[in-house]
Amino acid sequence: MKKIYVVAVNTYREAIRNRILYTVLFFLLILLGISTILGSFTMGETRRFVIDFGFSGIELLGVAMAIIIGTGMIYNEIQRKTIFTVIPKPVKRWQFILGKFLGLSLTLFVQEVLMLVFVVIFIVIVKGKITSLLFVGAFFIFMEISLTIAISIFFSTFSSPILSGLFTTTLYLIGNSLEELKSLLTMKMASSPVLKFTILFFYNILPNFHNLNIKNEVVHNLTLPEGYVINSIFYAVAYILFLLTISTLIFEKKEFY
Amino acid sequence: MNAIEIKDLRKSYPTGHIIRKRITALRGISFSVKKGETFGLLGHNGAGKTTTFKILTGLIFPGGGEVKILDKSPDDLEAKNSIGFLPENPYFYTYLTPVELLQFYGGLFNIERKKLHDRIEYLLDLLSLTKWKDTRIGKFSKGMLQRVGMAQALINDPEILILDEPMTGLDPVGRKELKNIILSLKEKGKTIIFSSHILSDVEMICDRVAILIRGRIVETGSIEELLVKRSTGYEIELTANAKEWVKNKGLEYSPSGSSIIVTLKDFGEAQKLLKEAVNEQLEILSFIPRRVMLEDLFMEEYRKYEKDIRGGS
Repeated sequence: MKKIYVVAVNTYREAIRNRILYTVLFFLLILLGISTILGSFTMGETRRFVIDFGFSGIELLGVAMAIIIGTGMIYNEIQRKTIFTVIPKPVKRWQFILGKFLGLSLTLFVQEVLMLVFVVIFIVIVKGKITSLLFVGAFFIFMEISLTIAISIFFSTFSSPILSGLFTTTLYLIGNSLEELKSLLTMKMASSPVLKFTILFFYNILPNFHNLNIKNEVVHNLTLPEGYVINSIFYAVAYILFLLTISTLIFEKKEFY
Repeated sequence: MNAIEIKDLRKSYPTGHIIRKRITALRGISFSVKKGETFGLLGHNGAGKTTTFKILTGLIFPGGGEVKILDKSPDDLEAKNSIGFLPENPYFYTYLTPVELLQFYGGLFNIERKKLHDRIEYLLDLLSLTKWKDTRIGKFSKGMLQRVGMAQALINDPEILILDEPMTGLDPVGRKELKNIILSLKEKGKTIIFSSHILSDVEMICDRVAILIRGRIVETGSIEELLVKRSTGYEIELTANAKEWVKNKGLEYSPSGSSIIVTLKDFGEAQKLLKEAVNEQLEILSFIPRRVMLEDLFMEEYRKYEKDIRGGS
């Protein structure tokens, strides 16, 4: 356990010294500023604007960071040959992968907390109500980010950062549109059994980011269906573990010339 | 039990992206390193030294044959706990300071906090890094990186040290310091296996060497065995006033500062001349077998191997 912690802390140290993280925070502040100005033109909708812009910012910037840093993490260890002094140490390869995942998750968690603090401050400024759903929503975004990190790591075990970035972004976009894909089933064009099977196959196998997106409920302060939170946590954790297991299996076979 | 045991080790790997070719790096090498021994692996670029080290450290897997470290597979955590590895031209996390880096590596060995702190202080001092302990590694020169590399290789006070070209990038002072560190580790009974292009260093440090040419070991043995058995004669060093006496015996000599050196091919002849010199009360400064240098031996083996290859093809 300590070895995973050591790798995670080192990954955190690397990521936290990346200036891009601070640029992202600055970017969010601008976004929140704009949302407040736009919101002030509407009657009593400022809080909604701040949450909408704020949460979209947290999600997109977090996911972008997960892809940018996540896809390069393993690749850079190999490319910069830092792996040459890690693998000979008494650390299992799965511990290394898990440590890397947890380290980046921790970094982006800290970043998300800071961004959430900004959003809360802006809500207070516009005299909006702080609800518990706000924090549940933030947690769901964190699950989305963690899932994106796991996808990035998975692709980066066998492809370059550019390709991994491309694959992860595509999967993220498809994963957000899976409900739309499923709705095709009700259309006339999906009458073919092959097409139906294909749609259902991808719907079930691809990461369903849509399930982890409750921004609408947070913005409009709607109640979540019973068991939704637990089910979503279970889904995200299971998917992450599945991806990390596959990544480890690939990484176990990797040779470092 | 040997510290390192390698039997019929083979390895080839693919190169190229579109047209995949396989390069054979090791063609069935075998050697063992005893506990407490300092073993040198000599070879030209591409001979297979680094490939051997990477298999020993679990970075790549053997293509065939057997590799054991203290009777364990290189992947075994027990084996990994007992080795320290310095790769050729080491690269480290540039955003860390030497202290942070050593804390990281020490953490991977589960070294207890206080013990690790003391070990880091000791290593920083040993490798003259104390002054730069809070400077980020990204700002270090090649020689400094080599010192950091040596520090991380020693963080767990390993029983076996694997050093791939440890003298690379060091200036003469750095080389001397590192050589002294290796010699002091040798005195402490550590097992050391290392490769080097600088053959004089190998000759000075190693107990035994293996000469690796194009993935095959062509010669293994102690320095003495390898060099003395190729002895090309015996040298007797006398004071310069013995010039006339040597000349009268019909022998040739070569001047060397304030002395002369007589070279004889046969041990019996040398023994006879020594006795006569003692009888004549001449001052004998030294009597040594004329050894070939390791470099000569290496070149001789290399030429021989190349000739065999050409002859065979």
